[in-house]
Amino acid sequence: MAEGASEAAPAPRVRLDAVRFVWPSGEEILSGLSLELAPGQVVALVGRSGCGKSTLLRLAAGLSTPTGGVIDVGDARRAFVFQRPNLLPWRTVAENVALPLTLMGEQDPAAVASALAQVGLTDAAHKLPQALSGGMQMRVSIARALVSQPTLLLLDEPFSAIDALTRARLHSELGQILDERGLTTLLVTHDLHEAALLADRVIALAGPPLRVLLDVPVSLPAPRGRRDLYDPRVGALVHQLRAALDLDTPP
Amino acid sequence: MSRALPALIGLVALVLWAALAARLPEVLLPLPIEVGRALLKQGPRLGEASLTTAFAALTGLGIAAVFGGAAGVLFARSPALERAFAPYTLLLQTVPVMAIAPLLVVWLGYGLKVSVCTAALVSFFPILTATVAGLRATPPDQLDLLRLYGATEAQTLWLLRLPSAAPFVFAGLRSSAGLGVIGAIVGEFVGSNGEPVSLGYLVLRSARSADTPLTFAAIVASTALALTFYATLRRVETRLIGAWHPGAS
Amino acid sequence: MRAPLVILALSVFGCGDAPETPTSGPSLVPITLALNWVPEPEFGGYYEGLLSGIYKDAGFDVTILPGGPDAPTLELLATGQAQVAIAAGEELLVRRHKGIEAVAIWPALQLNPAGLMTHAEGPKTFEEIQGGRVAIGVGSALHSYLWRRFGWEGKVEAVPYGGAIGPFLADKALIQQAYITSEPCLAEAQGVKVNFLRAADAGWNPYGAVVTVADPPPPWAAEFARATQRAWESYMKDPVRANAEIARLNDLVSPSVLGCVSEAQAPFVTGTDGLGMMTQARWDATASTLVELGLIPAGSSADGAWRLLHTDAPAAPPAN
Repeated sequence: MAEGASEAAPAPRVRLDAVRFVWPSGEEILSGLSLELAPGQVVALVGRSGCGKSTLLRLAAGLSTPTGGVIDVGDARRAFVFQRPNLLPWRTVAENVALPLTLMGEQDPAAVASALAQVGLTDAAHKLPQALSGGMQMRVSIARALVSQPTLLLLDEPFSAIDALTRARLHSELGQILDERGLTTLLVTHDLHEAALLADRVIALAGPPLRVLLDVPVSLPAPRGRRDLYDPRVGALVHQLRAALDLDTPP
Repeated sequence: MSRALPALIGLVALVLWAALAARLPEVLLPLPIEVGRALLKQGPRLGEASLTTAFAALTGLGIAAVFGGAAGVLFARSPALERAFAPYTLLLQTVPVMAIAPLLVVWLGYGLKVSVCTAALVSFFPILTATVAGLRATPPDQLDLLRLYGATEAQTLWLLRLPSAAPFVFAGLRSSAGLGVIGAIVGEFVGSNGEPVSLGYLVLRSARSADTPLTFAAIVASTALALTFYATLRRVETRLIGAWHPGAS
Repeated sequence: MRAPLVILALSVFGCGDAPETPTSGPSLVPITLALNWVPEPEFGGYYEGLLSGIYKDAGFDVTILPGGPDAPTLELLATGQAQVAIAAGEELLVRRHKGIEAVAIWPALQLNPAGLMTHAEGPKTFEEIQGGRVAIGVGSALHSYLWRRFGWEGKVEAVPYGGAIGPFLADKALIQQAYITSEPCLAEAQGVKVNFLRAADAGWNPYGAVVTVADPPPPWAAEFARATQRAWESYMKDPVRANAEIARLNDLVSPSVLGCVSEAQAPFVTGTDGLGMMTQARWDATASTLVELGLIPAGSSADGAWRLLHTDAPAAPPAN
């Protein structure tokens, strides 16, 4: 796995320790989950809709507060890619990408340009979001996540609303980005193939309350950007995950 | 063809008006040509009156925008505050301006102050309501986004909530544009001293002296004024937010 | 939708059959009588006519419609919403020239009761008024007359008078339009001493209020004029019953106000020519003043604007 580009900041170790999360209504989503991510590891969380994996991600992002337990991300700089592009429609593409910097009171046009270049959208810098297709908007969202040089990247089903062809291309692009930067990454997805293509480790979950069904390393050695959907090892992993998740049985 | 339709309807209306007016005394319904004549003859006076009323309406609108906007920000921020003031805002909203106007004359004296005040009063509530609604309609995902990067309340207000609320606020302003003109004229009915002459004063005076063509001409002028306000507002709206918010008509 | 048609139709159906009292008479002529101000003692005779049964005995089913500032009584007459309209004499002449076909058949207020009311410390004559602000019916003939007569254009501000004396009470410097029968008494009831400057003294003396009907007068008009004359005679003898009704309708008219008004009103009703009289001279003077003010075309006169119907002998049952 390649090292992070120019920053010397070490990739953090992320630790969840007996984390509980209970809604005010009394519904318990997490009842003491413990999890640890190695620095630079790309972990995919898969599971049925509604099991609580997105809640877990939001807790890791600091968007929600756990009812009990500890979430320790060290001094990681976090970035989040939402399910929808979540761009501000009155800001241009470049301004949207720059938003994290603006919020931190910084200005770094070079970083913005670099992030846009990384997702191949340099030409769209001055356009407004509605001039872009869904796939391009998602790329902008990813560029925005990258511009602040994060050390912990969280993605919540980022490609679920994208068409299959574009999705395939975005998989390959994201894979390359993850290769280059070596970010600790937590990816929530319902697409088992996506998990196999992008992750080093896949955790299959069920719930609520959330519990781990399967926690396996991904044995494909090739760089993520060039992993092949039709590689038989991908199929085997997917098959294994399907069994664990009991997907062939109706809920 | 669809461009011609409003003109066509206008033409039909004009013909019907003329037919009806021909059978009635002028003091009840003047002929369109009489109104046209009054518009021409009294053009300068109507123009001066329109400017006065426009000034009162615009000033009132401005005051309403500032206070309505500020109150909207406060109320959106604090539902408790909104609830605390709810009976009073409701009261002010439902008391007819015509009833308040004489009181305003006693407090403020005759002149522009009264019509500015009445214009502000009627414009206040659409703007307040629109601002609160707009600020409350911020998409939660976008709020999450800003929270993620540690945005302060002020940053969230300025970078997210206010721009997001802009379409709503403009909708409120559009309602207020016409209402402000009406409000100013109502104030002028009660509090105008004729110096400078205003549309409300002209309507009052011409009705009293049975110069009905002039009354109608003044009404035409006030309609034109309201339409101008509205159109200008639309232009501004398109300029400011049209790129990312294709407005409804 | 023309008023004469409506009235003709009414008279066909509701024609009064002479002075006999049809107590269960199905043929009472329905009359809406539109007042040009709020109920006040200046309309006492009509209320007396209603309450005492004088109108009913004469064959009329009268409903009194109160008005207020800018009440469009002649317009109501023109559209058939009223069969009898009370109007100021000069208003009648102006509107006749604007196409409203109405005619005065009885003078309710002979001497013109209009004028200006000032605070006790303020101006006591018109000449003393050199500036400041007057609340008046903006655009009325009185407005035009006073400003012309005393050269107030550009010197004295005219602000709308909304019918309430609140602003006057609150502002010592404010002058306002007043009827001797109304505002000064209301002000004194509030403890405020006032001066009343009579417009008649300044040369403004149209008939203060006239009873008008559509022109040409409907068949019942003469009988109505006679009944009105009787009603006012009754009111002048004893105003108590009618005043009580007025006080009920208008809570600004308290007993003390009533006393003040009755005293002030009597000479204005009877005038110098006697109750119910109108003269050519008075009408001509009004017409020429209005021509001078440019409110009616040059060369206009008051001819045809007024008829003395109640002095005619009671007619034979009118032909339909």
